[in-house]
Amino acid sequence: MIRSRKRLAWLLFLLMIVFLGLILYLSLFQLVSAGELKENAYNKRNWMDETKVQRGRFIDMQGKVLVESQPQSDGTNKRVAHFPYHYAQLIGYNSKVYGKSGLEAKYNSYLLNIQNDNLFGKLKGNVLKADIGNDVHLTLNHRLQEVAHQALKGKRGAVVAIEPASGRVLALVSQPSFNANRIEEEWNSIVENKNSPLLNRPIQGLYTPGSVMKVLTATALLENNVNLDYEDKGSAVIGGYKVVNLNGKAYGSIGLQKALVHSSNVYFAQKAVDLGAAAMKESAELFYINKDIPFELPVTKSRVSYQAGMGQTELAASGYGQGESLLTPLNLGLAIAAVANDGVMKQPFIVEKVMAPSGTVLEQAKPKTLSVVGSPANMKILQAALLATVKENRSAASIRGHQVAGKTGTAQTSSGRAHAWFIGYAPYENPQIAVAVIVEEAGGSGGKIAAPIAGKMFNYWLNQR
Amino acid sequence: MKRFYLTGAIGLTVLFQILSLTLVLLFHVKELNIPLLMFAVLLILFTFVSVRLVDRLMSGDSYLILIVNMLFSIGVIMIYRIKPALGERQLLFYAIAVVSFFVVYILIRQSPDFWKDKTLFYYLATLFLFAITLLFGLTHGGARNWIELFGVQIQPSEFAKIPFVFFIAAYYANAERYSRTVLFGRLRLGSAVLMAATYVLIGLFFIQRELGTAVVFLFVLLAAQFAFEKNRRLLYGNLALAAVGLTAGYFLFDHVRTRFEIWIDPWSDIADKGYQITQSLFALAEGGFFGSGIGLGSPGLIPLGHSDFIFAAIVEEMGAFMGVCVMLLFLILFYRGVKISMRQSSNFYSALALLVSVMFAAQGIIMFAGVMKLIPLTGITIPFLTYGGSSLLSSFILLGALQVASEDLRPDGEDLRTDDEDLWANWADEGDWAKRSGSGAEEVGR
Repeated sequence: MIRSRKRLAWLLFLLMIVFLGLILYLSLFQLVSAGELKENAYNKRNWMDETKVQRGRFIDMQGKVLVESQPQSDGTNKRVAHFPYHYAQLIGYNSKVYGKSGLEAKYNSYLLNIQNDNLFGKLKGNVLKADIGNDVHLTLNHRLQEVAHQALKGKRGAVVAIEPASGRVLALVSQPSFNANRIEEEWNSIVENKNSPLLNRPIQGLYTPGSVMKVLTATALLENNVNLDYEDKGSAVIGGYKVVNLNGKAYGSIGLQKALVHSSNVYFAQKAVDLGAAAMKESAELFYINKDIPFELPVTKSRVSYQAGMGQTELAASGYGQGESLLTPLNLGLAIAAVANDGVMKQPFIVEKVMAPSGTVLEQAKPKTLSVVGSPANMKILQAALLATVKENRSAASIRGHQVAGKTGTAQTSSGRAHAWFIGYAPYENPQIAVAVIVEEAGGSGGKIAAPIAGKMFNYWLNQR
Repeated sequence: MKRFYLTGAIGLTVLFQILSLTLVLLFHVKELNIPLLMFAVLLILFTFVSVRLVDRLMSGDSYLILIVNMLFSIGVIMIYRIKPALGERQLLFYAIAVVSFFVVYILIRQSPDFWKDKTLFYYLATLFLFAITLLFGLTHGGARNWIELFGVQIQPSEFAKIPFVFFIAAYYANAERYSRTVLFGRLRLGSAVLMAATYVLIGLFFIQRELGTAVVFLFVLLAAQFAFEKNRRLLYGNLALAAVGLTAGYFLFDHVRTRFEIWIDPWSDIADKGYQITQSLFALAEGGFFGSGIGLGSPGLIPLGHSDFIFAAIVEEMGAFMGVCVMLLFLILFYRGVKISMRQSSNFYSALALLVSVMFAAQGIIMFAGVMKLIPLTGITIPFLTYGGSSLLSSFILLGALQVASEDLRPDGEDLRTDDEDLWANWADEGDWAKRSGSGAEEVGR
């Protein structure tokens, strides 16, 4: 046997290297891979709260329970959407495999009663575990949502209904939809569906607005004191490009109201060019085009590119909602609500309050003003024009007992099939509901396809509620 | 000064125990009862008394038992936190194990020379422990490594570690004599025969699916050859053989291949084969550097979180820093073992000290790295840390032997080579054996 201190020292040295390596690896593991592992869907820790806490409910403005967790016999809780198709994109799904979406994701901490905002709150939440989560009360009215949901059934499109004076969202519908209760079973067919049922169309869909954009252009013209008289010959060459009215119809000497009633493309194209890109841009931004609209869920930014020195053709096209203009239905709903509210655009919101099981209100929404798009005097002029537009066209949006103001749109798309639009509000004197309806590639005009849906909503809200 | 360090370290251990036990008791506050409080009191008492006893009665290294008590405390608190019933049993095992430690110490200390040349006996004892598992073994967790004796489940492979370490140490202590012994014809009883005999054991464990134990044995053999073997070529040969053996094992045995595949990609079969290791990784990740706090994590989600995967459970609730502490405790234990080996004038006890230390360190390293998915996972116990009476008892018996080795014993060495004495003399002599340096002041202080 050899007694060598050197050899022993080497052995010690080797093992020190090994232990040092292990320590380094553990530290690197914590710095590099730990974050991702924690979020892993297979990490049951992410679902511990879920099984322990009875997740809070989603409740509509009338106290109707839309989504709730039901305790099962095995001690776990099952998430049940009572109207699985109605709110599939908005409230979203809650799946161990595919995670959470929509308001389920956004209000997760409230629903599970987790105070994550600081270390103390987290510790407190861990030690004093609550059994029941908080309820999220929505501004939505389920019955109105149902009207829009049924009206859009079998179509692709979106409906937004807003209370103009406050910004409360009364309905937010996206079709086609999917069954939020069966997300795990049907995931593949949902994802592969080329009609994109997961897309929350009213806030994420970007559409060519077509003639409904004329309401926004009209606001810009009024606010900038542009000469509103025009000789409509049915077509005009602007910037080398020929703009024509529907069927080439000439309306002669018209003002703003007649231009809206007849939906004259030539009028708004020429007036937009007269006004210029800078003023058009300024007005558009008051409507939150090219800006982020604050909302509980992320809203895709509407895009109309007004650049200094932009081509006259493009500026003219933006005047009547064609060309490169792309807007979200929510944005157009806000715009018409602002017009109805005498120019004051309120911030949209869909969560009225979050309430603890004890009845304590943890969060209460308050109406906020986003911008003032136009003066009350100018808005009165525009409102009258929109009332005339509905009346003189005998629009299907009209209802018994109340006066409706609004504008249809039939937006040309690259596919050749037009989007059918309607934006409007009612009652005319005392607006209680503003609506934006779009049916994608409807194969018919806004007046024929979108306006009747708006009519149903006005009728429900003002006559049947 | 040394006295101050020891007292301070005991104080810190007790402080850790009090704090962590408070948290554990709070966590199980609904089940709080007298046995539970007894558990806490007994743990502190056992730790304190065992360290004080070693310090008072023995002339060797008092820190060994202290380090081990620290490791045990961390382990048993975690076990208790996950499964209180197992924690209580583990404390009972600990009491038995500590008593065994003193008994073994006394047994060996009484006649140190008796133990140093029973090479064949040790080998046969190892074989015997293997054989009874093979004959009466119960399958548990894919490995057939349990036997039942008087209603108690025993894991003989844990106890086989004891005669095995003694066997290798005894061989090297008597190597010169053996090399002159002729077995048959021209075959002499040399290191090649030792290797062959060891490989028989390793091979048997391998076949029995106790991969981990086989690898630990291999580690011990390699370390012995590295430290004590005259013929360097044997070490290189052994390394090559180990590599060939592992490769052959990969192709010959499905269960070896499966372990490799799980290691490469546990995610593709996460629900079944990859489940354990991925749960372990989740726990490690959840802990971060500071841990969730005792009672605030979910170590119950880790399969075998109280035994094979206790390291992951510790990191989840006490943090990666505690994980580092555990690894450093193992390193310090190994360091002291190496130092004891250097200082020990008896060849047998020098070899024994080193090999016991290697045995502890190897088990720790294999499990730490395995749980972190740095190497393929093989389920073995971590000495002093994981749940299990067999492991605890055998580890404390080996610790008893190490304790004896840390004392001054009569040299038995025939060939005390000191080729590099001058190089390491100073380093090794700055030993901190307070009692050896024999400062009068400290004697008075006691």
